[in-house]
Amino acid sequence: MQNQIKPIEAYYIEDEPYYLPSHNEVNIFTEAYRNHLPVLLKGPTGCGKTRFMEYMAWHLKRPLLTVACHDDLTSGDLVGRYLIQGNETVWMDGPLARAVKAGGFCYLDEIVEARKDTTVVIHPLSDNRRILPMEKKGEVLTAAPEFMLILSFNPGYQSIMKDLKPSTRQRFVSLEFDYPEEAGETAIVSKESGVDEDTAKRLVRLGHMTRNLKEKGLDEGGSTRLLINAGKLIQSGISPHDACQAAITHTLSDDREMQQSMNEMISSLF
Amino acid sequence: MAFLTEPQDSDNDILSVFELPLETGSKIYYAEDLEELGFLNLLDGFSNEIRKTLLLHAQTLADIKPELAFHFLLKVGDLLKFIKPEALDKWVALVLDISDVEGLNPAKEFILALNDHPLFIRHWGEGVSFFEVHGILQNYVHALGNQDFHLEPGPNHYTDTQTIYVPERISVFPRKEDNALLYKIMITHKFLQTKLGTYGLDLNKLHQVEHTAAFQTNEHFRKDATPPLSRFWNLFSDPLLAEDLFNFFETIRIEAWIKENLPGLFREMNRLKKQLGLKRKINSKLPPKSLIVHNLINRWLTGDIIPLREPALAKVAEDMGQFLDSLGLSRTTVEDTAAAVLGAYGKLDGIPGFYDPVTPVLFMGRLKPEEAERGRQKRREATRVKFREELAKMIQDLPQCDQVEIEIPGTDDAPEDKNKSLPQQQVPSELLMDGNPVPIPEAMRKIITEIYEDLGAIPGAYVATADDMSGHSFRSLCQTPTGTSNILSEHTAGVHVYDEWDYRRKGYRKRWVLLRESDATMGDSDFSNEVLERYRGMIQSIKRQFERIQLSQVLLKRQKDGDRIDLDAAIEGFADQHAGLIPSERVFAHMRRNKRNIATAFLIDLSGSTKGWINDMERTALLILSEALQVLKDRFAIYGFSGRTRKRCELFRIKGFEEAYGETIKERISGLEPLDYTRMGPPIRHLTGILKQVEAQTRLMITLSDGKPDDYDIYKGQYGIEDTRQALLETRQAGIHPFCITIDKAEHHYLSHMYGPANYVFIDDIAKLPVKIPEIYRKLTT
Repeated sequence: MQNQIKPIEAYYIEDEPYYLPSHNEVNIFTEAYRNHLPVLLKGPTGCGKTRFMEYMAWHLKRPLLTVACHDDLTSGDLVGRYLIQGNETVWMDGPLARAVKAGGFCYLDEIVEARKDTTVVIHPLSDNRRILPMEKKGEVLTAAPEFMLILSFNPGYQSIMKDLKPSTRQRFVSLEFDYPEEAGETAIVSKESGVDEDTAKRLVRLGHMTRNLKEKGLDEGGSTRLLINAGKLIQSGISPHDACQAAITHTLSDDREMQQSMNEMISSLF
Repeated sequence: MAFLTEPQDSDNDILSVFELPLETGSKIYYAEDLEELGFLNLLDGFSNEIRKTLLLHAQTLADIKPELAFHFLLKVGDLLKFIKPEALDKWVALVLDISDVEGLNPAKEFILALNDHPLFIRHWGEGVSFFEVHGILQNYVHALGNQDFHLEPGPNHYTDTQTIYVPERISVFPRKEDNALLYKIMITHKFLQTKLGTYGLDLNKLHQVEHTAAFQTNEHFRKDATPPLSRFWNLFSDPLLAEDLFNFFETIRIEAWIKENLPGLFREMNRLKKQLGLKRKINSKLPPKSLIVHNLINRWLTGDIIPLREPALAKVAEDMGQFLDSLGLSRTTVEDTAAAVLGAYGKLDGIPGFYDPVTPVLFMGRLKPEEAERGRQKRREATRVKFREELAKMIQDLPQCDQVEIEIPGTDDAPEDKNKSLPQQQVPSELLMDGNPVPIPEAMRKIITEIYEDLGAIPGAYVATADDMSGHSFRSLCQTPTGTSNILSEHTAGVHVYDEWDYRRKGYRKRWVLLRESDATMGDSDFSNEVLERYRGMIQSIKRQFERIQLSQVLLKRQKDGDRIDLDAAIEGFADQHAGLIPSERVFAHMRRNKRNIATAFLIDLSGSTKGWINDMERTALLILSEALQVLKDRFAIYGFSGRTRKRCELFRIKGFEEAYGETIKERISGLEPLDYTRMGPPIRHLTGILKQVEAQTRLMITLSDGKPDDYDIYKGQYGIEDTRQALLETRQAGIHPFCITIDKAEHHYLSHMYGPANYVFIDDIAKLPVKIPEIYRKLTT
């Protein structure tokens, strides 16, 4: 079985992604990059962390390799493994090794979901050493100067089992992300979904209402992404009420009473 | 409703519903007496099917209290004029509920009162009841804004800025949705009164006050204690007119906000306004001032201008219209409303005659400045306490908590001055503790935001002197004095003190409950031996089921990656290669360790209502489960609870986590007896504390109950349910999963509310308890 490997050039971002900065994050990230420091992006789901990464990769002209972490992800998946190709056993670099070699950005999204043994490769890359031990190969890679390790982390879903230890956290520069403030969020929703400003405003207000319900019935309020999804549906011709129900209400809650409450919110706005 | 009349040959089926002679409170009835009463023909007008249903219901009642069946049959003809036959299930359940909780006579009254009884009205009355919409609208009002509002039914509709009081039932409109919409409008309107500062009128900002000659100072005008709104109205010679004008104009100002921010609701409101307008009957005999106000309100509701015959009045009415327009603009303040009131009052002043208050528009409600002021103080005090508690939490994390120097940027050293209005500051992201910056957690930031909105800055007094801040003395700040007639004393060994959640004030009653943990008394081994013998087969079968779960280590073959080589796959790979095929890359094997790491606490309701059969089955089920659990080696504990009033909650340790299952445990299970009441919150909290100490990957708390929380004092109904729910939220926050197994036959909405919709299960047949409980446990933990 042949594995198609994308050449590293394919990971460069050609077109400028739309990103609306809220604080000083672009500057801080750039300076961290120049200082060879790794970065931890913190914040609730759907508030722009990945989009920010794409923007920074474009801005600093580095290839971006993103890994969506899950609980079967081991250090082997990140570093690489031996595969059988034709008659031979061939070593295949994982995304982390590729980024290290090419001086790219390796972005580990939702790092707490991955297995604990990933710490073994994260630690040496995120302190002064900037090395990647490749146990199975018996090699140690030194990172190119442009290499950068970025992790993302959602502080909301804290389970005792899944937590970022202080020894890991303290290696990183942290940038905190939150939902953009109202005017900014309206602009983002409007641009990304195509709806007009008035509709975007109403969607953002709906988002705010759901965020007021955090820990009063909802685990998390609606993220910007949810609002954009609703907007896209509206732009395609679905009625605002139906679009919001599908993209927001039923996504956020399975509880009948809460769904009816959200209906009341939607019908107050649209 | 049309009923088919068919010839009946079952003359005696009605009489066979209960045993004769039938004893009621007033008389003893024999078969002949019942025939005389016309009993045999009571169900004549109904079809066969409905007749059967009615007899079944009568039988259900008769099985519990024959007298209830008697009255039911006598009244059923009339009853079905008010509800459909399908609704009888719920009606009969309600009758039995009342009979269980309150006794025979209240249940009888319910039957006899038909559709006049308050409970009947609540469930089947026309329109929409508060109880139907309250959950939905409570979430809605939380979503509207940051403040914690509470919704409650009451005779008057208003808000005191903490609670919004609405009618128990609304049946103004023919359509149900419109009545529900009216609730929503009322609540939104009251919420906005608070948010937009209706009660926060700043008289210092009204320059016109001194200059207009239209009013005189009233004796009621006292500078200090009276809230600003009352003072404002009393500046006028007719405070009632001023009040009505103010309420009306404020509503228009609020409506402008709704138009801009909640356009969907605005549209619906307009629709209802027209209907409300049409219902208002104009009485031409009203004195002229009232007529004009009435006119103005109508114009606002329907858009129509009702012409007034007298030209002078018509002119004034037209002039008043300008006030509606000016307040309809956005970004107006409550002072703008007051200015408009001054202007409008001036115009009306020239008209002769007194003012007879006009019927208020339904959703406007009343303004109650004194209550609002009290509410504001209460909220301010609650925020102050929350602030101190959060601060104490932050301090506890520090290594040394005796003397801490706190500095919060923006703290105001001047004492709280109600009339000072500072520009709102930005909430700081960190404060200084002993000079070191400490980030402020989110919960604390919310509280600081509230304080800023209210006072503009944190008063120096909130950040008290250092020695007040150690964790322990904070708790003692909030202590309520305990009475002298405790049955349990706080100082006895094994007695724990717990807070209790009071849903009415949305806060904890501090140190409210005393709970004692003690060992369960032993019973005799006869019971346990008998059970183990009788159910031997079942126990074996359950053990076998549990054994299957035991398989903890699984070797996953043919993996892409792993800690060993899968020889079979590797050999196949070589063979494939030789055959010219491309070998698979899945040549590894991986040992997945599914370590079962579970700890469960079982909480058994030992209230008096479990007497008899239920208690027997509970004990049987516990014995069987304990036997089966030996296979799994899961850690488990069993506790029973009961109690009487908040000063005497008892928790009986039948098996602690550290105790091994054996003879002692069996005898304790045998010795379980039904006791008193069901105050659920404290045992849940205590058990949460115990479970927190246990190291396990998964921790469960399974409650076995036969009904709603209930105790001798206030702990019943909504209060008990809400405290239990709060205790379960605390449990979940501790990372423990609560689950409920219930045998409560009545409706289960409260369980969904307390445990969440997926976290409880109902076992209808108590005899199945011994089988069902292990099954449920197995499902929960695999």
